[in-house]
Amino acid sequence: MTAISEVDIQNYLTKKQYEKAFNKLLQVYKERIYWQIRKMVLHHEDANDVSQNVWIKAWKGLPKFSRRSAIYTWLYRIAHNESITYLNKQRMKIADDSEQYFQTTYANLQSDADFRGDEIEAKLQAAIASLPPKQQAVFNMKYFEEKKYQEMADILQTSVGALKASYHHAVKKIEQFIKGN
Amino acid sequence: MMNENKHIEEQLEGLKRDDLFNVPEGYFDQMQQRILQQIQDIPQERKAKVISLQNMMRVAASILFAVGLSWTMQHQIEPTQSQMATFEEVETKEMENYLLEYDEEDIITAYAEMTNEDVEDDSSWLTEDEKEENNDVYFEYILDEELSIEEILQTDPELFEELCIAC
Repeated sequence: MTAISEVDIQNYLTKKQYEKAFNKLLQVYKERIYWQIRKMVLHHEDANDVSQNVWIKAWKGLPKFSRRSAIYTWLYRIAHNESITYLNKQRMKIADDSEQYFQTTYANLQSDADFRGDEIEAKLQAAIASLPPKQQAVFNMKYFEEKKYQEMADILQTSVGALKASYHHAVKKIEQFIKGN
Repeated sequence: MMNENKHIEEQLEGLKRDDLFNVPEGYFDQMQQRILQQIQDIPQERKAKVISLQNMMRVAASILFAVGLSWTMQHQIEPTQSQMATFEEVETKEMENYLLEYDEEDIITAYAEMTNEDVEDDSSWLTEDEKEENNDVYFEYILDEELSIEEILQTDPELFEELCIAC
């Protein structure tokens, strides 16, 4: 986000011009938020549904935004929570355990016209998807988005130590999934 | 263990791609309009106002003053100067006990009936800057937030602030 956009949004919020602030937020962040969600839920239709929920929550909560954190951190946190809520529900519907979930996700990805990866990439995505949702989020942030631990700690409101441990477990599990399949 | 992880990470590095997924053509172009349409009828949550304990006590002091004044007038008692307590002399605990026992609606009504004169009459304990603050803000706050007196008095300011942010 450019400094100008940040200032614009902060100015709108100060003046309680929430509609303008929301418009600007949407304009600047819609793609980043969508991709953050898509990497968690994998399928476009699901990412579209979760994105809509995120923006509706952002709209409702904008007047309460405390400005203690950067607005993107706040938005990112909403997206993270919505994705995790969605994934928890989804897993209960699809599979009883992570191995079954891996197999189902792998098969779905291979038949998904919107997925452009090869076999090993589909396995990696299915392995990431089979992690507990919070580990999945930590792995995505570190691996794909190359976020610093401190930034992740701000977003997820947890400690750097806990995140490092979580990332380590995630990497080990992914390795096991890929080697075992 | 760290080295072992490093090795796996290096292997994963080779698989990192940003273009693994497609989105329908024009999806992001239409997204803004679609979401703006969706939120049109959705009301926003009201901003939680944060009020300091000091301000809460000012409200309590003003209310106590108004109720006391009202009671004194009704009973036509003319207290002597020595019998009248100043706000400095009223212990916080006494105010709290009074407010906890008193019917909340009556307190709010009493405060609503206070005139600016009532408030200004005993504003000598306020600084010049504080005098400029509109007392209506406090009253509006109590009504808006529908807080019970217990909530106002018993809440730790920092915790209160946290709750306001969290809710």
